[in-house]
Amino acid sequence: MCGIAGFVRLGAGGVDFDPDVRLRRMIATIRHRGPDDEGIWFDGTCGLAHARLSILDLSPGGHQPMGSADGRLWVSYNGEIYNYRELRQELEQQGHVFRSRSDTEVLVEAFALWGPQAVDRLRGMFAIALWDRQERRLSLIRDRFGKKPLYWCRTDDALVFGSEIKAILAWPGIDRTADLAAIDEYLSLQYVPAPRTAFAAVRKLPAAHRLQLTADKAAAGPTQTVERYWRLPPPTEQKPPLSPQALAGELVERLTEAVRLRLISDVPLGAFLSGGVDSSAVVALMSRLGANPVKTFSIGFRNAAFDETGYARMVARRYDTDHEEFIVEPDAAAVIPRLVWHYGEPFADPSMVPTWYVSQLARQKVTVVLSGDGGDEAFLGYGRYAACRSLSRVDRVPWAVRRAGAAMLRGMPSPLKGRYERRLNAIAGLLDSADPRASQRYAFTITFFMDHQKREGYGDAMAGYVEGSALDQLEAYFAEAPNLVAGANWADIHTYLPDDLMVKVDVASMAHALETRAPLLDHVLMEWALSLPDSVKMAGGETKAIFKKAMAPFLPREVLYRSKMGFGCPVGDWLRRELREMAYDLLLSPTASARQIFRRDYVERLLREHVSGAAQHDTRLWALLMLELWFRMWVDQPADAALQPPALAA
Amino acid sequence: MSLSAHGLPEPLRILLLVRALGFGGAERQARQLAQGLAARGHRVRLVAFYPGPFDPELAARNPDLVVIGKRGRYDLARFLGRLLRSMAVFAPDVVYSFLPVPNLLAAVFCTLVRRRAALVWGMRGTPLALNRYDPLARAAVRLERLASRLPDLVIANSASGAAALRGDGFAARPVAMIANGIDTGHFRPASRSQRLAARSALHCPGSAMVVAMVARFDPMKDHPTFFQAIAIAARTAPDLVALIAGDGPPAAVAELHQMAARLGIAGRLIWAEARREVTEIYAAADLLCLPSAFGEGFPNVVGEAMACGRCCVVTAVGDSAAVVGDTGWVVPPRAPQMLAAAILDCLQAIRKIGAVNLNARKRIVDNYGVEAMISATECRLMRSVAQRRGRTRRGRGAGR
Repeated sequence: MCGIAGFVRLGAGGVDFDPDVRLRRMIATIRHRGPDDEGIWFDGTCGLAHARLSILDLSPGGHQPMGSADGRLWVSYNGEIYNYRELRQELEQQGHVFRSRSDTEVLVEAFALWGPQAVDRLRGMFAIALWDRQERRLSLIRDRFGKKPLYWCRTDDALVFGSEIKAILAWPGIDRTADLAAIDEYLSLQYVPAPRTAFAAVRKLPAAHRLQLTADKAAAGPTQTVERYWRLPPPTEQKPPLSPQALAGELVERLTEAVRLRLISDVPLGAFLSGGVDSSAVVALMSRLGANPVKTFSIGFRNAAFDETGYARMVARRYDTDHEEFIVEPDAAAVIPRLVWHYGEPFADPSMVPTWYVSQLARQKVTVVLSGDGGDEAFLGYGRYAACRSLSRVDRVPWAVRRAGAAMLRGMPSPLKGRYERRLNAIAGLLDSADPRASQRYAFTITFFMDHQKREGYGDAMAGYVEGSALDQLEAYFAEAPNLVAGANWADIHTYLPDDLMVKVDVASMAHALETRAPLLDHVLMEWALSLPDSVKMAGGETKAIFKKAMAPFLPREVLYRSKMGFGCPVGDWLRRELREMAYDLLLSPTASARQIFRRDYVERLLREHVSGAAQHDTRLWALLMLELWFRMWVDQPADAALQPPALAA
Repeated sequence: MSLSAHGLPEPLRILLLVRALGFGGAERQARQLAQGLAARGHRVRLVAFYPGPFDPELAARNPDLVVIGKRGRYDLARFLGRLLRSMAVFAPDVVYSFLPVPNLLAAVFCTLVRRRAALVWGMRGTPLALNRYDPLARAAVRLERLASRLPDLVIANSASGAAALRGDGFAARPVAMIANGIDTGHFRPASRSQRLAARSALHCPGSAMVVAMVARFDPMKDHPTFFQAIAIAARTAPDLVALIAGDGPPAAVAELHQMAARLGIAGRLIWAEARREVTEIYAAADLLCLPSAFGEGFPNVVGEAMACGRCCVVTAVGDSAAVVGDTGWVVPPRAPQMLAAAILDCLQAIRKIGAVNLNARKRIVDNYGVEAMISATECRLMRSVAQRRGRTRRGRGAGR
């Protein structure tokens, strides 16, 4: 688990071009990802840099960038290959003699022997930069679910890449103009979906994709391709031949295998334990595999509506884990600038805050943690899937009745709705949604700013985005699914999972040099999960029904069958108290208004309504706050100042 | 099945269709898009009917340029065969065409040959009178209007153009506005030595206040109003010189010369030959004036001059006022007195603060850069592809 950066020169470059200085400068911006070692390599065309967090083979034998035995391939890679021992055996049978115990050497020799198809054999998480000196070809490869990030940028005379955008911005002269199309998508989704980033000049390599750039071949100039190298089986409605009981048994077997693979480590290892079903299942199976006592870490809040520590404790007691809890009382002034700096793009998933704190907590004891990420996507755990299922039925109700129901719900005073306000408003939205596009119906369950709110509040700069919808691009995923639930899940797997969840966890954990591993996102397990129809995974309308059935022998019923909370975060309360002044100052400032993203009077209304309790705009205001801070830190400041991390929190 | 056909394909296979890569605004936009979208990793093929002056330059940066080589207006059957074959072989996810004839041929392709491909039309949308076109071109415009239900999206390059399209029988499909991109790397403030060199090359007196007008000699650009305004302003500003850059029919040029003589300003006018590189004009000028009377869409010259840090005086026609914002002067069209007053006002400000208007440049960099145009277009193309796939699926009766 590490940070990578590098470039391929496509032109002669200036006389002042110093590859060492450039590589050191790039890798310095992401040194937090790998504080144990640093390496750079340059062959006249390609430069690779690496910041190492030592997990396997702690000796200098794992130093990167690393060359293949024949010197043809050079690699800088971030991640873990869980099946590297099996691959090593295969390579040894082919006569290869290894110099170290590291998975990096296995990786580079695998590519040397099997070529680009070697990626099909990798089981794990990875962002790989591989330079073929003979072909003069750079390959950038990202894992199947986007667990490890990889960004790139094409300038006039180079292709520049890095694990985080800041490594790219360390390259001189990178244009930091904001991409308003990306901002429009962010305001709907809380993240910027691939392949775009919030910087017009910088791109994300999408999950399961490979970029290949062949430098200066003949006179035609460099050639570049981006292609998908792997895909999940599309959603199906076909029921499997096995009984639910047999499927549950198979699920346990497969998940146990995925967990077992992820226990390989030469450094201390633990687990995030939110108290939810997924992380509890992972902890249970880790304990059964003999990793006892597992070190577990939980985060709680004073606000009981967001506090799951009781459930986490229940699981910890059952498996006698070495359990640590931390109650978050965020020091906004200290933590928010650090979040904005580390994420490097506008990012507004409120659970970034608890993920940040739980990573900080875990890193004090361990270097690697297992998490429950991906369970909701694999086995239909989100409430929105149940909402989509209900919506499919609501469509049969006459339009007039639906509208009346929606009006009634909307008309209820806010205090009466209490903590269910957001859910009731979403139901109202679902009821009177007349748009036949699946993405628009799904939108009610996920969007921060709805299209009508954008039309109402967008300023001049966003005039070009009033027409159409940021959700339109999800239509392609719904088109491949047999029903609304499967479509929502399919869209989540390709957008929300890699571009929100994986980013959230990677950035928060790597900011603390902590490696996270997600057994539920093992691609073999996911392929199997996707072969099950939603009628099995959500039998009887119960979210994650098959998963809960499988885990029933291992987890308390109270943990399995309770309302889902996840690593939520009470930003609504914070915006009324701790963050109120900051929100008013920043969002109504002349600087923010001059951007013309939203009109000032519209933002002022949102603030007034939220603070007074007349309406709940927590996610929208949080998104605006993070956006404004991002602009100030990453666009308004000179590049050198932006690349300096904010002072450490106390 | 190709893996790229999975969900929303990344990268997209984008086919851009134009008549030729010439000097026109739409053609320049197609050229910038081809390069910009290819640099973002998309597979881009640019198909042109005729060879153009920028072919070698583009081919050097984007090898997938196909020039069909239409031999004239009546070379139809062979041309169509070659064109459709070239488009089909590329198997695009989206076809983005520019102006009436390419738009119609793209519609034929996406309707008959590759229904899976999204169809996006690029239209200027400015309300020009049809009688300005020849009969075949008029027929193409009428057919385009009839076929306007076919595209998944229509992209106009100005807000006024988009509004005109929405109200002109083209409202069948969504109309998006994406302003032309100004290359702010190419158009940038000139150094003092560049400015002096430009003035010398254009025979502008070093101490003169130079008002430039860069526009073809066309009634919509309204040179007569500009000349009258110069005549009025010159009474107050004796050091005023007007730099005229443009091209047009010889008769129109002769008429303008006669008018200048009648107004007594012939000695104040410097006629620059029609030149491809206009940065020299902006370098020599103190301010740019665009006095359009009607029909203006997105005023490229205003954006370019602003990117070069020049103050602009424009009329409230098309998107000129929106582009200038609060960094310049806006007056009503066909009002020489008011135009003269604005020019004098602007010159006064320049005398105080200097000729370089950094606010104007910032406005263009922030809002009208090439990257912004490419991003917005990429975003629209992606959404159109996704929607087309959704519609195709619904059309096949897929369940919800």
